[in-house]
Amino acid sequence: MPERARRAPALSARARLAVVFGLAFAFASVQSLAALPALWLIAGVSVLASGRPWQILVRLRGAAVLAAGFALVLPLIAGEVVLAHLGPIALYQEGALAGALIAGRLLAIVAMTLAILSPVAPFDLVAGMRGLGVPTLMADLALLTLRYMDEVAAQLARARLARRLRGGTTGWRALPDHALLLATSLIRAQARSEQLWAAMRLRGYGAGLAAPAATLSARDWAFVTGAGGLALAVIWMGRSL
Amino acid sequence: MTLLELEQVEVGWPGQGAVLSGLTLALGQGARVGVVGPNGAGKTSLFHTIAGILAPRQGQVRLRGQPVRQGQFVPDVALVFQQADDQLFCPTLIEDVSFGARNLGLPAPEIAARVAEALHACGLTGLEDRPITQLSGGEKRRACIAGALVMQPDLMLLDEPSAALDLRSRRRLIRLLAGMEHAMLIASHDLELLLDLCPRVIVLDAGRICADGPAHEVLGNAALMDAHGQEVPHSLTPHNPACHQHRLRAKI
Repeated sequence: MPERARRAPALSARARLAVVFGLAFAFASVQSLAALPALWLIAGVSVLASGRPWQILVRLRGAAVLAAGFALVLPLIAGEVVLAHLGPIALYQEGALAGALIAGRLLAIVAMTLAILSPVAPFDLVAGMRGLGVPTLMADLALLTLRYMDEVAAQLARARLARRLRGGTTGWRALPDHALLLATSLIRAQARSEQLWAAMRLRGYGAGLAAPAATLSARDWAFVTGAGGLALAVIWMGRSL
Repeated sequence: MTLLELEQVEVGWPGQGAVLSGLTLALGQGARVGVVGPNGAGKTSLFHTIAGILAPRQGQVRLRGQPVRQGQFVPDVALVFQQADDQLFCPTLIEDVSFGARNLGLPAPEIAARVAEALHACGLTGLEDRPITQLSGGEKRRACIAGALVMQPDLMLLDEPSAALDLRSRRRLIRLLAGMEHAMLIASHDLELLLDLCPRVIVLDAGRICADGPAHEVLGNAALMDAHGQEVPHSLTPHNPACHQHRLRAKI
């Protein structure tokens, strides 16, 4: 296993999770638009330090679409002070501010989380969650959900291909069919998850024999302490600006 | 000493008929037994019952005299699932193969030694960091077996081990299994594989054991095989001289 050991992440999963929880909480507490650049700076540095910025940006697409949705929809529906009129549509100041704030925080949190947690294998991540005191049931659910989502995505892709090969229609008219495919994939994935769960239990998962998680190293402590200080600074800045 | 005993085991779902009924079976240390039967005969349910996934409604499963209880972790029994994807869930091969050893709480050097040994036995050395999704069907099957071997079980339950394998992978799998000293129960429709590996075969149909005996006798019994939706393996089919002469004439 020397090859594997050489490429193992330098920081433990527990330390990474603790930092992500702390920073995400601090980011979420920010209520001022003026503090957003600081959040983006921290997230940007995390992304660059991860050594895989391009991959993280690609994985950020989903969150970016959601953030854009908040930033575009909230100004149209929330608030009283009208900023501008676009024909029959009014843009509200409160909605625009809230949309920008929510979108900005969301992008910063997701980017920072991806950057810090992406080098960790799912199994180690779940072990780290347990090490932080997260109940075993929740940690197990998280692991199965990860596998379950992969399974649903793969099933859905295969079902779509099979449908297309047999002349299935595409576009908006096929939306009910796609919903049906999704439902079928979910049911099949649940059956596979049950098998996976059985396979995991048969190999001793949750039997209580596994060695307890190792204590945090000096490097872990330095990382957690530094990130804790950063989180406190973000909270202070978010309240004072 | 008997390794595995099933005594009048009945398994079924609530409100439904029995999937397995009146099953009595004994297996010694290092024994290799083939299980044949049509689809839905109860082969997978039998394995799940032995492994403690399903609980018998009646009767008892005992491993070295100790009852196997549902949900109990039994490291001495390893089950290799029919679908490799039902068993492999870690991102890379080495993570999946080491999964069981880590759960046993073994020290890191022993985990590494067991993993290296299992990978070597299964011909997977060098693929340690390969993502599971990039393994071929044969490699996935061997990865499942390696994951089971790491536990150093006394009994291996192999459910359709040669399903969907090409000829080369199938031959390699037979060599791998033939070299193992573990007791094995192998459920398969690949009767030639069972002939190669198992001195003893049982026929399971509608949840009952219909025949139990030496592989050549059971699998070579045309009436028995026909009655349970099976065919005599080609290697045991009596030579037909008329057919042979006909082929010779056509060739000339």
